[in-house]
Amino acid sequence: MRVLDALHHIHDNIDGSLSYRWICRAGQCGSCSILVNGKAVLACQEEVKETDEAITLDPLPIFPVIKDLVIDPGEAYDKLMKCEPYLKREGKYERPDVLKTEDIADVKKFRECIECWCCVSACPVVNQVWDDYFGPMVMRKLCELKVDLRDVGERVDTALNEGLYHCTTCRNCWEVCPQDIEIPEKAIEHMRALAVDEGKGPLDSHNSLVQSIKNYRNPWIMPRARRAKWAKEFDLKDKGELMFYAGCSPSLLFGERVPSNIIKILKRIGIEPAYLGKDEGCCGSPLLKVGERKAYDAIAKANIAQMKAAGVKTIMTTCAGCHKSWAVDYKEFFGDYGIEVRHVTEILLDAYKKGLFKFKDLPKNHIRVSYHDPCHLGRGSGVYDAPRELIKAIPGLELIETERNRENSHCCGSGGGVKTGRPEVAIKVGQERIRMFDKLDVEYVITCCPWCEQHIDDSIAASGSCLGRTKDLIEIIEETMEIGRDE
Amino acid sequence: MDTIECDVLVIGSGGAGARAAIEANESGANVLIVSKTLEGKAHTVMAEGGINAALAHRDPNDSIEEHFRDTVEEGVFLNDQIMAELLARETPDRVYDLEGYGAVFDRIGERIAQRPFGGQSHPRTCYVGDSTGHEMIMTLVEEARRRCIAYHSEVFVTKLLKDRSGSICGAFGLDFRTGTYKLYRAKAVVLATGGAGRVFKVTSNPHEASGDGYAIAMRAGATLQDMEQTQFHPTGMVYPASARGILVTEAIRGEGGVLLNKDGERFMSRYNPDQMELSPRDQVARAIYTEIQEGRGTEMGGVYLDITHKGKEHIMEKLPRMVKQFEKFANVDITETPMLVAPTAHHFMGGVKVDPYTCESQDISGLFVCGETAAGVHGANRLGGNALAETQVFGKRAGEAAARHALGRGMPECDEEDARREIERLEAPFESDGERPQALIGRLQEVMWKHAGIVRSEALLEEGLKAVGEIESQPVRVVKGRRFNLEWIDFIELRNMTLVSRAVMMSALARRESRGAHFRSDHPKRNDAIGLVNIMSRLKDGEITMDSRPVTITKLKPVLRRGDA
Repeated sequence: MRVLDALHHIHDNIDGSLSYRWICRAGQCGSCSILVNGKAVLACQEEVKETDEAITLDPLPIFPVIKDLVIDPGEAYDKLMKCEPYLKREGKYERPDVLKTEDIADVKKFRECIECWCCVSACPVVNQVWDDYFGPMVMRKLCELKVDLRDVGERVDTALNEGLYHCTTCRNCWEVCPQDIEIPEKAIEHMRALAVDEGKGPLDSHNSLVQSIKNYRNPWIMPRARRAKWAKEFDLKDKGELMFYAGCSPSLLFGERVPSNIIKILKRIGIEPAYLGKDEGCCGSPLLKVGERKAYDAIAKANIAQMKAAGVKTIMTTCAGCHKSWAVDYKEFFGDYGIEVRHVTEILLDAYKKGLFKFKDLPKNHIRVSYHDPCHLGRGSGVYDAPRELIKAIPGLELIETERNRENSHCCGSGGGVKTGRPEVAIKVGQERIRMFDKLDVEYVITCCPWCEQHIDDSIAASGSCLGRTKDLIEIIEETMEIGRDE
Repeated sequence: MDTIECDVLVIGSGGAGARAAIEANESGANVLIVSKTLEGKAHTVMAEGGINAALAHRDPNDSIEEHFRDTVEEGVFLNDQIMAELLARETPDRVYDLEGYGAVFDRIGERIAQRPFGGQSHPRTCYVGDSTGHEMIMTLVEEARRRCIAYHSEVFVTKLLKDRSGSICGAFGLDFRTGTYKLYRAKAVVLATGGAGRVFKVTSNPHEASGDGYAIAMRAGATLQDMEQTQFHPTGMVYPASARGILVTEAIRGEGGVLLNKDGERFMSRYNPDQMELSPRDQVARAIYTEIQEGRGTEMGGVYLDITHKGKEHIMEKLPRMVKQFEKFANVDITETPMLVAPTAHHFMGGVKVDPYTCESQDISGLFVCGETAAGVHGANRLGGNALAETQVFGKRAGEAAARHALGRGMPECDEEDARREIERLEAPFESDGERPQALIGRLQEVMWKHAGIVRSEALLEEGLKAVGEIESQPVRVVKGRRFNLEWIDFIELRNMTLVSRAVMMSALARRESRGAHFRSDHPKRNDAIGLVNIMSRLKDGEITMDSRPVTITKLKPVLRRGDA
């Protein structure tokens, strides 16, 4: 049964005053979009399972409600109209257009949009600053026109004016798109790359980050050798089948505790990964996000070659952004390079299940915590369960989920170059995320990404929330693990 | 009550309405589109296969004449041949108009690609994957946006208004977002509200297709033509309930899919052993219908359509959208499990009788009708790919003629008394006691499916008319509340649907033969001696009166088709 069947049943048999919008009932018109359990969907496609006890329906957020589930999408149309959402030719059309199949491939996918506004209502940035960022649907349209060989409109300029650099690339728009249009990568990142090509991007505030990656191979303007300081005590080999890719932020921020804790944990259970030390460089993710495609491509290819030369069979990551780079983006752009990529939590969960370690009780007996899915680890790479299973295995920790989790998780606000480029926007998005955690009465939030960790803490401070310091899951595991089997 | 003025009022925002609006705007008229749906959500969006145009990109032997001939032969010579020829002659230009607006048709080499379609002698259907209608409507919406043509979305036009001379002077509507009334004053009106598939229990049409255009035109005094000609597609989805009737493309049978009854018998061998599953649409629809009626359908009221023997890879490559459709809506993997299908009401070939060149109603000056709301082009059966073509060719003609009509005159006077009476009619169900409209619609749909569906007879139709009369006479009550009150909308639609249903049944009674989509079990043969007439219906003092007129035949003399004898 679909949600639309349920709405019909309620309307016909229980409450005739219920209002909802629907037309084609076949997923083709985009009229019946609503929130089901907090996620934007088409009611005609969303299944209600017999096992569902109750589901929650809401109108799409950000729009004024006309009645019940019916919203007024007028403002979305107004914003779209400001962007001249139609083909602008040079001179008059002279038939026919001479176009080959390959000329229209990119355009066609963007034109599948059914204007259901799911993406706009799911966008964490639109929900905060819609007037500054017209949202994924509009960016999709501008990119469609930009890649249409017939169009001569100033699409990059319009996109920049309407907030191209506001997107955190959290991928919630793609997640909810009934037409499966890959807006973050194919529209936003692509348009940013075109902006850079035209000398119009990235933002001035991105310059130091970009220059730092190019010069120091990290975004934090630190000397190259500085990133390996944490590893001095461990004496790790620089070649091996299992390679720990520590990443820039874990290696250079927060007193470097995450990478050293990872090595401590692994040594205790007899795993000794290799580590490139000062020769490790940035994965390039920030360059990709802000549109510096040429620099990104060079760095990514060098990274892949470096790993191959070191005889690596498995790369272990910790930062969510690095993980997506290695596990998803590199493979998408440069083909499968033949190396497995696993997040440290996946490796630790395996070890835990094999009985290589267990957990002792935390000093305090019962602690309520929540988990924040980093966008690049969750929606970006599909790692949802390993961190959760580990948290649940720790005695005394009770995992409380937010209303927005897993595939429908809400971005912390820091991704996509937004924390650097538009810090005030990042904080607004972060504060919305904090409001969700504040409802849960938890002591602190656990996550698996240094960007999220830092930004959630910044947002807690900006919100005046009572949440404790955000912790990387590794920190907790290091404190609570015990070696040895139960007899 | 708001009063809004414009030169040309376009009612309906689908392919025909949008094209008419663009053309009227091009001609210099001030245009306003009023629509029951949000912009771009009209039924056109659901059209999958394509738009016919004899571009001869795939087959140099195709021509305007061949397209015209195919259209009239498929229509069993009931078509207005002037309109059918205009369709064939002008669609190529209209396809290029769409490309000019920005449409991205699939390509063959550097040109627009064309695919073969049922009943056509050459591959002439231009397409955009299997979502041609979506591409067309998005393109038209974009062109309308470029021209800043105003849309009034979610306004239900319930009445056409005429001045003292009997010419059109505007329309009256309910803005159901706010529950307030709107009086549109216009020098010309284009009516393009689509068909009435929803009068049947099972339909491929969206919810909105309640025959509003037929009903309001009829009440205003317009003549309807060929209303008995309702096309049933043989294969629609059976479940879930909300997706019931959604099309299951003919391509599945084209790719080798077989039809089986509940006993696993490939039953088409009893109906047409030569052509089996690829027999003409009306034959396959009647065969499936008969199997179900005689108890050889499944419990859910369908038969099986099985393509599993073709293997997963082949199916995924050739029928990706169907794989997705069944997976998304029915949780069925069609590469492993047979589909459940049943016939579904698909298209109204009949509609308002119009001038073939200008689309103006023959009865009401200033009313121009196009798209599925108008009659004439398709005769007794419609070729796949000709509906989208019709929207463009006659949408343009209607828009142009409406602008010409409007620009030559001042704003006509409307009688506010008409609006007052209409308000009274619309407010009545708030005050009355009675049944809820959705229950009555359900009953009507059952009656139409059983009595005026795939197989008809005098006895069935007479009984059906009585039942519709009973439904019509029931007082209706709706829940209180004015904003987006679905029951209230249902009430207005119910009144339109019962009127259209009566026109369908009375026209079906009047055609004492079987032709095209219209099948009478008591007159199972085509009979040119009595059948080469268009059945006309008009509303007079609340009663429908019938008439008939010889078909407009220009070049193609009626001949028997294979299987007609």
